Amino acid sequence: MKIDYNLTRNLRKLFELARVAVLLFVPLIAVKEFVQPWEYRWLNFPEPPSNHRMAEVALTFKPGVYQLTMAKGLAGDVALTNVRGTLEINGTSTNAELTSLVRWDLVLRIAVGLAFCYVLCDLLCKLCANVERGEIFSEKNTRLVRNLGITIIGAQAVGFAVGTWYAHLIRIFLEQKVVTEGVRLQIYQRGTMFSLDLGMVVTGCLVLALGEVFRQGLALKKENELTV
Amino acid sequence: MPIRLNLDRIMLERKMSLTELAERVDITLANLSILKTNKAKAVRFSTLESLCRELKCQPGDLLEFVEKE
Repeated sequence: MKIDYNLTRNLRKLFELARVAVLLFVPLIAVKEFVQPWEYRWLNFPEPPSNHRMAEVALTFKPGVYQLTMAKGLAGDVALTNVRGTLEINGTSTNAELTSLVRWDLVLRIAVGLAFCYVLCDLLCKLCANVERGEIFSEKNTRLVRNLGITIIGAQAVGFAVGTWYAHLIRIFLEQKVVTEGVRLQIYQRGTMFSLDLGMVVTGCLVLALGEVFRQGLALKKENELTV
Repeated sequence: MPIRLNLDRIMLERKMSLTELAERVDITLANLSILKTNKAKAVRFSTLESLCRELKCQPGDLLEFVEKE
């Protein structure tokens, strides 16, 4: 029976394209984020503000800072103890420490994101190429599928670890440099990029399970090959 | 494997070559070689039947249980 590998071929081409796109994105992002601000400074142009979402924060008020009053009832019957919001930092600020914080955040986000995308596309590309050759249940494919699962879970773990460490840096910066009179600023969630995505972790586990299916398939194939 | 196939001995007794037996039994030379070198994990009844018919023997003559040391 002749198997039509058109879908696999097209998928492989798509992943190859995505892999090249990831490589092209690196200089593009580097130019946009790091060279462009310098250009403004050299040409003495005012830099447009570039706000970066850094974290979700909670503002906890000291008692009595904000009083809510009602027409009837006693003062303190209704109290505002904390509010939540998004902390944004201007990446083109004149405060060097602030811009450095934004730059590092960008560097880490780009590095983790692009590395993950490149490795994922590369593995999928190799997998499709193997299937296209008619090699399905093989040692190579089992390893590739397992590596795919490890990459997905690993990227989440690395992202989460980097995000937690970075949130700690922001917290230190805010505590030391940002004046908040009568208000305590707490970070309760990092940006979307570095928070732990449980959906992705589950996907990674499913891919690992698929790797086990491939391993079992390989064992069956070997046994079948030695059945005469 | 504790089960051994005495194909080489029977073939020697019948003075039959591997190529000739492969043609008669209608299995590939590679598969027959797997059987002869005792690398096979399983033998189909149909294969065993063909082998017994062509070599004029019983399954018991071909198969032998060897206890592991």
